[in-house]
Amino acid sequence: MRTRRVARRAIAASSWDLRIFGLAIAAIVLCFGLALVYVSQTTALSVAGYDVQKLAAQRDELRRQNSLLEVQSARLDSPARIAADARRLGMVQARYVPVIPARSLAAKR
Amino acid sequence: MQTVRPRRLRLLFALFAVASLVLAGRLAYWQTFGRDELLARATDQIRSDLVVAAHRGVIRDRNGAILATTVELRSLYALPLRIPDHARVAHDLGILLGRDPTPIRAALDSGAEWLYVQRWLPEETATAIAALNIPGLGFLYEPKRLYPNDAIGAAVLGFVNDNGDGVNGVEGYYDASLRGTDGRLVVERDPSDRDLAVGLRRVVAPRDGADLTLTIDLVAQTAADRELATAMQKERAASGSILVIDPTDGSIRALASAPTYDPSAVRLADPEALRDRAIAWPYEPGSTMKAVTIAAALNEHVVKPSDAYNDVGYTIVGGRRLNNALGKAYGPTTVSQILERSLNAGAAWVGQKLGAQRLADYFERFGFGTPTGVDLAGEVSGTVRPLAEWYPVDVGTASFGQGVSVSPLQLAMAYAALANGGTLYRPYVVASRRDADGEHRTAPVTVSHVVTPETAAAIRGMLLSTVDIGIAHNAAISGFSVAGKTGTAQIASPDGNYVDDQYVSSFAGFFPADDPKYVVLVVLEKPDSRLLGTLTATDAFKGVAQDILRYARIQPDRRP
Repeated sequence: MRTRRVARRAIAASSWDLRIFGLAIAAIVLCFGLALVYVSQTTALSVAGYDVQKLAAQRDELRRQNSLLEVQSARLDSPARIAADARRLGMVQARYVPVIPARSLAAKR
Repeated sequence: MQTVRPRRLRLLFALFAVASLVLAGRLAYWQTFGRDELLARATDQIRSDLVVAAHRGVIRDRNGAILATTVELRSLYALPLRIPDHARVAHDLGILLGRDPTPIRAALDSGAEWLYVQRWLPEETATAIAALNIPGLGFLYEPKRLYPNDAIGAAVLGFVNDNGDGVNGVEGYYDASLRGTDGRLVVERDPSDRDLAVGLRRVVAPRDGADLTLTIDLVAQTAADRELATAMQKERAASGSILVIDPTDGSIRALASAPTYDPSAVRLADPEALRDRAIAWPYEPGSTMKAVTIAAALNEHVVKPSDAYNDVGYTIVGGRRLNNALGKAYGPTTVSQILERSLNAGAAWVGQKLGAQRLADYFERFGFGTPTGVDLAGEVSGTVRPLAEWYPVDVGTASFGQGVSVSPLQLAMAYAALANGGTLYRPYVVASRRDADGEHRTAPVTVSHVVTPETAAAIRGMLLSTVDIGIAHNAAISGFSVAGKTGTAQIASPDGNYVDDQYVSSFAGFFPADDPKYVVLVVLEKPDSRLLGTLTATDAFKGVAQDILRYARIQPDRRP
């Protein structure tokens, strides 16, 4: 009788240990899973950060190129440059440019 | 069998115990009191604390054309110890940079660990050098102020030196607004020196400089610079200036000064060229001042345009004889004819009738002797001596513009006041300023009403006659009414006398005379043709005026 009781207690204790062990394993797996998620998130964030940096660098370079083009455009539009090119082509500045007053044109209509 | 004595064991144990205590203490120190220092040292290895430079504002003309802007250009640097073949690299760089390779080689061989080879390379050159893939060469991006119109408008723009400070002109006056406020970026970096997205990141965003829109018109400015350069070359003049003013609000449409410089290459400029003659050159104006004297006398009802005196070629003032130019006598002469013939004796006669006190008062009212307050760096005030220091003769000489000094801008503003009906405006070059808070427009500022509209109209009529039938006939433009006055002034020497046979030639005029839209002043210092220098000044005036008339589509107000 006493032996049977002891055996029953031993089985119960063993089952309890198994449960504890299972819970511990589950907790470890959960922690590992969480850590994995955290690491993957962090890694993804870092990668995204590098991508953002690359895009920002591209944006800055495009802005720089745009500024350079604006300067080039302003140089080409410069009246002094246009006048110099015209002189190179053999043109001369008109000494007198006749202007017909708008009033006299209106009177003829 | 050999045994260790217990005493030695205890000693060894004690040593270990002390060492353990010291180590533990040290460890405890670094974990408590020294924690911050240790943390700072560790963080310093991965943290970068950068200044994020604010972008310097863009300067545009009144129509939006870029006059000055900042672009990041590549600067070439070298790490000579990493360059395998100095001679070959110097040779290649010499070809691409258009420079003698010898100094490049010398710099590479100097033993320096790091050096600039050349700063602010043109984009094509930088790309060509980068394509060579030479180890030990690298590029830095550095901001560079660029002026697409080269020397056009240099005097009004000023320049930015290598330290990024604005000097002279708009760049100098508005330096604080243009430069903005630098920001700061504190961030952790990986071993490849890339920013980390996670971890420490503190950003103070830079506040970019304000963009400025000027009252300057690039077309008028180009015409002014061109005509001034032509006049300077023709007359081999020491210096010169041309101003174009809108008399309706005092805005400056063009401001040219010679000798000039390229603001992108200031290091090559003659230091004297950096002085803006239009605002920083006090000179005795000579006969252009007669219009001011006569305006004052008309305004005080001391004379009428039709009043006459008998011109004998000179007048005596304060015991001194003041001659007309070349001593010529004209007989009975009206006040209008004083301007038409530019008679010193006549101006002195008017000045005497007005009196020294009122003449000095009007000089002050027209703004002579005090800075105009223009928004450009480096303005001078000119000199009108206090009345107590005037000699009796001064009322005569000052009447025709000798013995007083003015800046070209002061005189141009005085003519603008005569042109617009008597209102003296404060001149300005910045029409609006755009920053993060929005656009701030400059409102014209009235300094004073110097003469009545009737007086101004009478003077306009006299100055019109001066061009139509008088001494300034060379300034006439077919189809348009032009009013103006020539000036030939002697130059004061440091010893108090006047320099022999050297003059300042000038012309101040406005058009159309009935409804003036533009005032143009041309001043040439020491022209080769001496007394005939005014002809070159009027030619320059016409060159500028004709371009502006065409460009502004101003209708002719006369039959050609």
